[in-house]
Amino acid sequence: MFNKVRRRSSGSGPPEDRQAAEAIRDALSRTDTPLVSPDFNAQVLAAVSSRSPWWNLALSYFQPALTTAAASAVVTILLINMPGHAGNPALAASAPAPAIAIRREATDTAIDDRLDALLNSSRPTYLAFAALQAAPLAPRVVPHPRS
Amino acid sequence: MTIEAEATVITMPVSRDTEGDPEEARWLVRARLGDEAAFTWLLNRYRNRVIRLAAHILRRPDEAEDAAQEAFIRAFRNIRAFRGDSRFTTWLFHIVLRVCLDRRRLKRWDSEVQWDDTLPLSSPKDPIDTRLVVNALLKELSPPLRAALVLRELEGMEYEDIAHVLGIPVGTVRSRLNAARARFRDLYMRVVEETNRVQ
Repeated sequence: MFNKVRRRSSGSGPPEDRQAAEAIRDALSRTDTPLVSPDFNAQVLAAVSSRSPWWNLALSYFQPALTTAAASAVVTILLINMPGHAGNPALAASAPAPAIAIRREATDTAIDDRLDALLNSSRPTYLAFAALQAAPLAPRVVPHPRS
Repeated sequence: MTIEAEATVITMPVSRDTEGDPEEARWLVRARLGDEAAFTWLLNRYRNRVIRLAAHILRRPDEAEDAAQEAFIRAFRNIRAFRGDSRFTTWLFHIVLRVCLDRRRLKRWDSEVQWDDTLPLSSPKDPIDTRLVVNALLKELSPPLRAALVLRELEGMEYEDIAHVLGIPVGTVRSRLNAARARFRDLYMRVVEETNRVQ
């Protein structure tokens, strides 16, 4: 059928298209349609008539607002928990680094301990220390570099 | 108020499809009111065509019925969205195509099966079984183009309506279908030559 038409006409013209279309139509129409189960309609009707529970409807109604709120909360928590408030450059620059803060605290504690120990030591030592503090400092003689 | 009375109150835009089929137009109005009898009428009218279309798009006869059911459920739940701008079949077949494409994207989707394995190879009247050639052709085409071929050749739809179903320009539908037919001719000629060589 089809090859005869092809031999008669040169190129791909409308008659060939019609022949091809008819052949395709014929073949498709002869292809078996899958069998339909007897309760096809009943299943569809049952699914269409079944109502969604109220919480699904409420959830779908409020979903955009809930999603936005949840996302905002997550971002806020992340920013708060970030070390040095990295979200704010000014705060991040002014905040001391943890290592430096710890070292300063240890130095203060050591000085306090030494001063306590000094005050609690023997009285002569204390008096000497007091005299030393009270006495004016003698001018310091700086030797000339060439002498 | 009875459904019939309500149906007369609600005005539905007359589509190109329903203006030539007042009975379907009446059933569609009732379907928009949620009337089960109208759903059943539409099911009985379009069930086989929807299943056949789904089977051709999916090339999985075992999945076609499920896909058709899903498409009908989606269509009936959103029947109010059908405004009558297009034919009802155009709107329904668009849903069928979307459902089938969604199914093919699922992880559990395995592959297509050889649909026509059980078909007889040829008959005395027609030594070249065109069904096998068409089967080979469909295997080469993308699912939307298979839908286009079925809608054009089996459903007899216009190019404009097929373009609406596929969501692509009319010119694209026309050129792709022409390419598909040309490919069919090539396949057919190859089968003929092969048959002659064997004989």
